[in-house]
Amino acid sequence: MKYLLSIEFAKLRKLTSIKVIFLIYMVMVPLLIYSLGYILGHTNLPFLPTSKDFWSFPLVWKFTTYCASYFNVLMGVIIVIITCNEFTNRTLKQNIIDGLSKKETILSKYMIIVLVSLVVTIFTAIIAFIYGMINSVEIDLYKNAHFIFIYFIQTLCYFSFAFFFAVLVKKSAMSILFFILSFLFETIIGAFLPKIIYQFFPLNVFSKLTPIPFMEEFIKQATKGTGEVIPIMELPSIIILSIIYMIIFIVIAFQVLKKRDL
Amino acid sequence: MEEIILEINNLRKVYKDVVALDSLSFQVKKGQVFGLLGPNGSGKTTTLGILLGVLRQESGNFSWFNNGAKDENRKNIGALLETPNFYPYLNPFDNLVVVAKIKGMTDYDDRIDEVLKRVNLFERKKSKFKTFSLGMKQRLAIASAMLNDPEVLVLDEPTNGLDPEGIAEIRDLIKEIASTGKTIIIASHILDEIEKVCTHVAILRKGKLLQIGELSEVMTQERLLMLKSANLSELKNAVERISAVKFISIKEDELLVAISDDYDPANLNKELAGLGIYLSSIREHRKNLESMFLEIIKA
Repeated sequence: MKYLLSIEFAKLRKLTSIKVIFLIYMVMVPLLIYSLGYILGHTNLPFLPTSKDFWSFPLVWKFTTYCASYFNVLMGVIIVIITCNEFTNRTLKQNIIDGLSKKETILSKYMIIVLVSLVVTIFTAIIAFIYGMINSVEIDLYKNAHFIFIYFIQTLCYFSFAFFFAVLVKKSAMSILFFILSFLFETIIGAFLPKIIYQFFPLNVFSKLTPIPFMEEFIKQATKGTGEVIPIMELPSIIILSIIYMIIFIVIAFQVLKKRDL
Repeated sequence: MEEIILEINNLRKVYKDVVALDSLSFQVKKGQVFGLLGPNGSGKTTTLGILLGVLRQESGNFSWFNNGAKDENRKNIGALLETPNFYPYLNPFDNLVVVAKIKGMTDYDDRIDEVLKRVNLFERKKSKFKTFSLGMKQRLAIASAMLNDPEVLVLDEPTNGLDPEGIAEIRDLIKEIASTGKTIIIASHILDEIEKVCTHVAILRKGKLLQIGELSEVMTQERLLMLKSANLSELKNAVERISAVKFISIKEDELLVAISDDYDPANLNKELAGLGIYLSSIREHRKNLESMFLEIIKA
């Protein structure tokens, strides 16, 4: 494992596009937390808390991960770039010629996915912590802190999905396009399908890992008295289903690569 | 018995409806400089691609170092396949660090400098790969192949894109590495290249093996002599009267003739003198591989 990571590190150390995208993420996430918190806090809707509440413990964990999740697409682009570079430069082929197995090439990329997820999650946790420390009246660090862990799973899932596209399509620009369009595409399909089926679609499942804070309350309010029941999966089943999807994407990517002539 | 480095049995590869390789079998032994010769599309690169784990064969099998087709075998093979493949945003040193790590080398810094010097890229150590010319990329690929001093070098068109000086240097380098007892497999359509560096040659056409053997064996099938005398047409008439000698052609001011293996050229000289023809020059003519090759693939 250390062997594969050190190879990947030697490749990526000097790749500027990653650094730029990370930088964008690091600037945009705190900005979105601030602006969205401000807007939501001033809607005067009865079930929404104030801006200050969004930025305080314990809600800040949930709110921060929700905001940060929008930028997972951006970070997914990093995974697409890293992976597609290996195809277009034919370096994946060369790595195999030099002695890696196809399994090792997939495994090493998955390690990078885990690493990027970890970095993103840790950064997001720090941002949430800082917001919380500044704004909280009462400091309760642990309540809702598990959303950080769930956010980690979510990034893993999105990045694995991005990786899957990258392996399938091989070309950077096309993969990024497909990756972004797939979100739109799934939403459109979802609009024509009964909610009971749509709730199991992969991107929909991933997005539910970091739900809009107070969405459940909102739905309950909106459907009160109408008798309509909107299915809401419990968090543990969402987590399990997400991990299953992630494994499926990685396994398909591996099978495709295994059968492909490079 | 010589150690077998590579054994191929009945390799077959099909691209859609084109048979790229058909029942290809051969062996390469330790210390050979083995040339894989054939025109474009004859299956050279396909063969090497399968041997290097990037293409999947339809059927058949191969074994490196009597150790099957395991991925780890390739760590002891230095290979250049088709194009030089490197990370464009890294300089040659950093690119070779990636290769060194894959090969499982430790303390590789000095060795990287050494191979970069060997292919005259040391001065460009700090420039990004994407700024390199084709020749420089090719030289880096060769440096990369010899990086961990592997048991076997596999070189696909190694002098592709090099200028004449670069070609000569790489050939010297190949000969030098071969002299240390390493096994080298070279694929090329440049006959001159194979002729100059190889000890053994296999000729491919349309995915099939046409001929295989030691270079000298594949090359000499008839003995050829070049004769010269004051009057070429008289010489030609005289030669046609000697049954052991077959006239082939007139080449500029010389006569090309074929003799059977057991016929002594001294006899020819004697007989011609008896007919009043005195040779100003008699020399053996080695068919170059090019004409052999053209004959073989046309056959």
